[in-house]
Amino acid sequence: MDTNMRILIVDDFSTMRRIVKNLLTDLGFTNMTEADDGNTAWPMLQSGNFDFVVTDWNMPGMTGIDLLRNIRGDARIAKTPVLMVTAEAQRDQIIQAAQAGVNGYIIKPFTAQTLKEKMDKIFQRAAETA
Amino acid sequence: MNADLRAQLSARLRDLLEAIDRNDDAAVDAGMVALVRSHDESLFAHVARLTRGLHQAVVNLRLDEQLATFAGDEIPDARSRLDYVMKVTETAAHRTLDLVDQARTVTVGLEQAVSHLSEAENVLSVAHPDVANVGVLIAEVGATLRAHGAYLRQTLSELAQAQEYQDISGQIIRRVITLVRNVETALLELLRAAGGGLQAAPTRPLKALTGELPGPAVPGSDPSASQQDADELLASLGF
Repeated sequence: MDTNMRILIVDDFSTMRRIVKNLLTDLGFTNMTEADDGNTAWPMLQSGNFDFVVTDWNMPGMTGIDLLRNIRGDARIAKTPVLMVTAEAQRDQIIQAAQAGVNGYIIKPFTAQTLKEKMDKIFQRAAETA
Repeated sequence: MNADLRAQLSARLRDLLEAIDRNDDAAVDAGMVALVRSHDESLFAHVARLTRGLHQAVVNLRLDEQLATFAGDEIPDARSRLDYVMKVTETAAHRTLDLVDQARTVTVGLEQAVSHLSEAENVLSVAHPDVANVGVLIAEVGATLRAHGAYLRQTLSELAQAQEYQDISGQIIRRVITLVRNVETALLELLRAAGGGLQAAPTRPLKALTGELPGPAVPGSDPSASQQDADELLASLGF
């Protein structure tokens, strides 16, 4: 994994953004930006050359699932890997996220180990299909 | 149905049948309209009776005063307390994360001190091979410091991670605030319907929840997926 890649962290709870950022720093990443919901994230994604998105689901304004659908629907950024980190733990939600094209799904509360595993898996797959 | 109503209905039906037999379309139409109207009127009368009964019950039990207190004071108070809980836990979580960040700089200092010790050990072993035992001591101190530093770094990461509770509990509290607000609105509607004194809902603004998502899992509530369940489900979908 390229530790210089640009990561966008989207969550309406500032505590959670900070925690995810801390964990990513522990994993060696140095280039992270935050957004507090999909509406804030969307213009950033359009102009920001982000390599990876970590997003919550349940947010005011634009939700994480809508953000994911918008990303997949925009040819320029459609291939950006998206990791959903959410408290939504119902089967239907997980299936919905999978159908929308999510690359990984983490249920809150989660551990640093889980985050590392999911990111490793996402980038391993990306390398295989490249 | 009382006897008067029965007699009235029976007479109307007889008139209607006679009108049909003699092909009097105008009388048939009028008869039908009269029948439907009498049905509507009895329904309205019934609803009016129920409404009067409810109003009387509310007055008799002095419920309007109690409800007015609930809806006007206690429920908005409960909402503002819940808002306060969210703010306090958020502040506390950020304070903890600030302290973790500060303490992390100490672990960086420890790592630098360890590398200085290692350099000192190298210099000593070259310049003063006669005091090799001092070199051994320095190496031991370095190893101990390195282990403590690693432990401290790990503990600080876990401490930061533990602040996740603020997001989870905050989401749950937001849902309770919405529920309390709905109860408040329903009570105010009831009071208005029963002619209570309160006219306007308190206008404290609240953030609306979006969508109909189930939200964080609460122990004892609906079964929800663990990370392992989620992984298995995604694997079955080809992920």
